[in-house]
Amino acid sequence: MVAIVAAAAALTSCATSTAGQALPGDAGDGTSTSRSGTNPSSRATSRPQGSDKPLADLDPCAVLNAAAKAKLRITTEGEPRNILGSRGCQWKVRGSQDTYIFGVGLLDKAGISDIPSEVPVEQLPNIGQHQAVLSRGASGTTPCAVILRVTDSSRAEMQVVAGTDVNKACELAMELARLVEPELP
Amino acid sequence: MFDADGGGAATLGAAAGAAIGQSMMNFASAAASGAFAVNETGGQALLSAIRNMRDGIAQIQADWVFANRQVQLGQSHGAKVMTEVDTEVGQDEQGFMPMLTKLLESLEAAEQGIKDAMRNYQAMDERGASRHRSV
Repeated sequence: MVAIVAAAAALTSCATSTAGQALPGDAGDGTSTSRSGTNPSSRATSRPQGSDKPLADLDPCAVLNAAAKAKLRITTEGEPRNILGSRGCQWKVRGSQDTYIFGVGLLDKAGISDIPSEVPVEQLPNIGQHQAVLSRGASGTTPCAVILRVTDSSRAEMQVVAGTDVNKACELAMELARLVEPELP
Repeated sequence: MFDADGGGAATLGAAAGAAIGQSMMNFASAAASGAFAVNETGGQALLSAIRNMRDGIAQIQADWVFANRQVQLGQSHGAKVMTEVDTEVGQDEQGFMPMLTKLLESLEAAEQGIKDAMRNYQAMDERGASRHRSV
């Protein structure tokens, strides 16, 4: 009971959405810009890999460009969704049977090794230049996430919910991760 | 009031979850056998409500699982106990998340039942109209 109350409090207090704003493109100050962004006003930006917070300037709602969204059949704008210490964005696709939820979360202060040990993760082959693990939750949970290492103390999480179909969720999370990966430092 | 095993609440939760699941299955099979009917307007309202519930559950699951990967409670004895209990409460067979997933499955059965009930209504309506024409 204690844990349920604590978890509920954490979700209600920390899952609040805040208005997000796409960051400007390359400001000519040494930051890198999205390699595949099509809309200059909404391109993701990132600091060089040497920065202690390489994800700090990356807008989670700008990591999917129009082509990437089309591949995932996303037709809506991303909705900022910050949970606990992460900055995130989610997109919903309302299908005939289920609504799919695509989520991207950026964690500036927690790497893959900081994932609690009770959360099962499976090693995946690298995706692009990034080490990857799969988290399909434990028994009874339906979301599936692919998590990419940015540095030892930062990571990006791509999570999908596809009704009760965990395998479908994992398949889509892999696709989402492949599309987001080029945007990560 | 701390019960690491979940105690009576977990048992009650599991029983309630099983009862809801069984009720929905009975509801769906009764509809499939033509035991009751729902008109188009009522049926669409029910389907819409079920869809909203399913979307809400999907959102809760997305947030909970995402938060669960971030919670690092530390290495103290208390933190280790909390970690174990959190995991059990959230993820064991009688936990919050599996119950939500079962509710989701029950809603799928309910949705099918309502669609069958709407078809029953349509069939009844057509039979009634046919009788009326033949009088």
